[in-house]
Amino acid sequence: MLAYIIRRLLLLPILLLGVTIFVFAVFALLSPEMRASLYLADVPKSPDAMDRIIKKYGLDQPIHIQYWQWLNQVIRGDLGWSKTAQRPVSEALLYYLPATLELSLWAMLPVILVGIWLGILSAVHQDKLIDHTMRVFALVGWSLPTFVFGLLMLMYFYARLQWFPPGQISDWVTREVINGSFIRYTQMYTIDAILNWRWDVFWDSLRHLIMPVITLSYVQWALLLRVTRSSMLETLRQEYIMTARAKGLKESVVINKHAARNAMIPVATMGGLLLIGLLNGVVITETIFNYPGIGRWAADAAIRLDILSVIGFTLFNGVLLVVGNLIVDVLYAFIDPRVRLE
Amino acid sequence: MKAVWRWGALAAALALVLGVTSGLAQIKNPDTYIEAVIGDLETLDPAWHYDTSSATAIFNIYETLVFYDGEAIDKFVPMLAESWTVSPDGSTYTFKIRKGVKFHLGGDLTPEDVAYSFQRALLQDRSGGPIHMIIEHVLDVASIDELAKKVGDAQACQQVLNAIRVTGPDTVEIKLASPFGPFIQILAGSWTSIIDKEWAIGLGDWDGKCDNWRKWWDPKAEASKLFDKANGTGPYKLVKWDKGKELILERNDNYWGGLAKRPAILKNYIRKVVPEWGTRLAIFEAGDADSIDVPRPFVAAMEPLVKAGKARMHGPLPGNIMQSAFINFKVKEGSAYMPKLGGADKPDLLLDLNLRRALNYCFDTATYIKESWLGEAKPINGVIIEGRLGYNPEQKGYEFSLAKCEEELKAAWGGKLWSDGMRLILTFNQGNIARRFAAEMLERNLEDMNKKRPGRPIFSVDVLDLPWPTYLKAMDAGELAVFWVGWLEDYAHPHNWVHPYMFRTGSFAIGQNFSTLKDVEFKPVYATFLEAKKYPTLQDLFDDLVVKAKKEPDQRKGGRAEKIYFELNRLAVEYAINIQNIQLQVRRYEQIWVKGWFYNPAYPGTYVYWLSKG
Repeated sequence: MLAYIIRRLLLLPILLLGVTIFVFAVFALLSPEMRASLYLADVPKSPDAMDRIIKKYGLDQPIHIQYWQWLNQVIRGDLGWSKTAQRPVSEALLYYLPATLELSLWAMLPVILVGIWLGILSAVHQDKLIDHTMRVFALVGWSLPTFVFGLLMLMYFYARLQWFPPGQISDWVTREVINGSFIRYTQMYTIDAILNWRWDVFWDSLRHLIMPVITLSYVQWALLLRVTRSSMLETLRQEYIMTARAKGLKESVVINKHAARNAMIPVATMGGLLLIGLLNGVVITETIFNYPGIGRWAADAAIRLDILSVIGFTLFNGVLLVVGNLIVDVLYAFIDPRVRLE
Repeated sequence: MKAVWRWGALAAALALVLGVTSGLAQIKNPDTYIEAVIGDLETLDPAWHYDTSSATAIFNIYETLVFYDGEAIDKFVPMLAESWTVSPDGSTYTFKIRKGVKFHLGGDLTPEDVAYSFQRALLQDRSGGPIHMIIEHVLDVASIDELAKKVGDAQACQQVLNAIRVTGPDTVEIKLASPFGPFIQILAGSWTSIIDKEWAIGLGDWDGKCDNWRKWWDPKAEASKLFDKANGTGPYKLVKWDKGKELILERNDNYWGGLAKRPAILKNYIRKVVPEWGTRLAIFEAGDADSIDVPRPFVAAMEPLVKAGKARMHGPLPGNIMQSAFINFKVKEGSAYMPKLGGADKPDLLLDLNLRRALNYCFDTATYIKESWLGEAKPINGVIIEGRLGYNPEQKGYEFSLAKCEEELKAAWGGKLWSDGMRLILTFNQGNIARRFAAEMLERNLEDMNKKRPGRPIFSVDVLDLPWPTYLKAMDAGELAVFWVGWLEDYAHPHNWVHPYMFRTGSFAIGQNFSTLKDVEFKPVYATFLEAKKYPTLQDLFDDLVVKAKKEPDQRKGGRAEKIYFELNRLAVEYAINIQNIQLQVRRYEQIWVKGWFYNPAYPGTYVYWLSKG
């Protein structure tokens, strides 16, 4: 298994190189003037403004030369400047990552627990009211665009009821961070609040997380519910389940100990898909809830044709997906001993 | 399942308590002004910025020598200058610098700081930046690089130092290459904000010497040492610029007093970046922002709040932006957007006055304003907006008349156009719905003329949207036949209108090739003190009048400069260089508890010094 992991990790740089070439090639389709728009949003008010900008940023160079220069920089650890974030790309990634990580971690919990629970509930009560309700719930979640659901949540629970505000934290906490009376150890407010022993900050941070977490979770619930339900239904038809029941085991033991555990094998393979779903989800969710994470930064950068930021985000996604899938593969081997990683 | 319901009930109760407690407050953040805006700043360097977001931050932190007098855009009051004088020939400005003013970090304001701020700005002169406005008048070139290429680096720098210098213990002199009446207007703009020389040099910025100024010339935004640092004399000081997220300013309690002889009323000013419209609206509705950016297509969403007394709307107010369609007299050879006459390429198709007039008569301005701008725009006959010197309310334009359009089309190119047909491409930038509407309306009206000329080669009019940068490049290169663009003024003076619209190197005129029209007679109607004469080209006539108006010392209403601007408006209409210009109106939405806001179109954004909440 170790050889497998090493082999997969060795493939990572090649994959990332391919990703960067692809993104650069896509941007090569844009003319230098189009890429200059990042630096010139208005009518140029002096005659040579656009030419000067194109020359200054080297946008008129052949794309392979621009790529080579960029690659040289990357090898030296410099991913370039993110015009969108107004800081180096590597710094931007580190700056926005904790917020996204915090959001994703909080979202993972309800996504996995609730999603699986709903799936099991639906399968156990197959073709009953609960099952039908769950399936409608899943269908709505699957078909409702995230931005529509998010906006509805925002309009009702914030604009109308003022329960859960957008953003990451309230202004009074920001003020405390600036004053130094609240130390940010991990850059994740909920964790920092615990470390600072500040439950008011913890609560404030949680209030800001609730709506994005629910929005992120809903789509994932739909997916997980359907997969868990199918897998569970198939497992419940297995002979060993009949045997367990025949032995007189309690239904809860049959479901939780024998059926659910085995039904989880196909669900575990969903890990990679869930990760992709979350990464895609944060782009929209963070934008709607003005949550200052990697997703909002990436969305803004893409709209502004900020090539270096987009590549930075893509690389980050690539690493995350490869490593994430690797973990899923390894976990899969542990869950199902019949699987051997070679 | 029972346990689940119990948890659910608990969560609902908790949420209800939360909702009740958070909904109690009326005026939220009573000592803080919060704005939710679409975009972040680009920089905090006054000499680098040219966007309204940065300008809004900078004019709350820094100060200029002079400032706008209340709502007036053409009256100025001393700010960091205690007073100023202008030499009789109008080319030398001498400023007496105010004493007792301190920068936020404790330094004293001196004349050296003032001279350094200007010199640094001129030598920095970043690509696409605002300093061309000053360089044009101080050095009579378009950029410092242009001057350096002519006279060498050292000499160019020396010319800057000679033009802007400390002349006494409390005076600074700015010498212009030639008189420019409205120069003081430019000095009220945030790009001429005064910085602390010692502080800037301490950060590693230009050292004040001429031997290596190129090191600091034309930097990228982030390369400027003042990119994310600020140390002004203004009513607010920088606490934190959390890039992409928010800008936090705090009241300067050591403020010298400013225009109202007091510090700012509100303790904090926060600009939150909220790109998504729905989120901004929700933040405003919840009372967590005192004002928000409301793009025109979304104003309808604000109306219920105004009607319910939950928001205040100022407007519609006359904006300082004009939307125009520009007509190119001769499209560049080889252009992909080449017009045709009778099936053959005809680069100078629009050189014909009848055709240009036809385009105007065929344009239904009233419908355009109603449909595209919700009725909030005003037709402008000429190139100078209402409210500026030189705007002439008596100037007649072209009314919408299909009959007159037909008449002009029949006369165009001696009847050849009517008999042989034409192809014309109307262009605008991708995604601009208003401009698309304008172009498609004109396309429809022109193509409808085909019904009146059956059997003849058709009038083929195409509407084409181009990506913004491609569009700008093609416009500059003179490749577009008819193109729609808007102009947001830099300073409130007609020169900032006639220059882009009519002058040889103007942003739009450069793509219109007025010099194609030869032997132009000029007979003054308003400026009768000017001699009637013949000019080699229309461009020569425009240039001469633009320069004459600019240099004219009498810039009063009813004065000689105004009469020259009237002439320029008249010529713009008579030669039909545009298709109906319209001046847009603007709105501002704020919470009802915001007090003290007034409209000055020259302000780049909210000047929080005037505001209070209550």
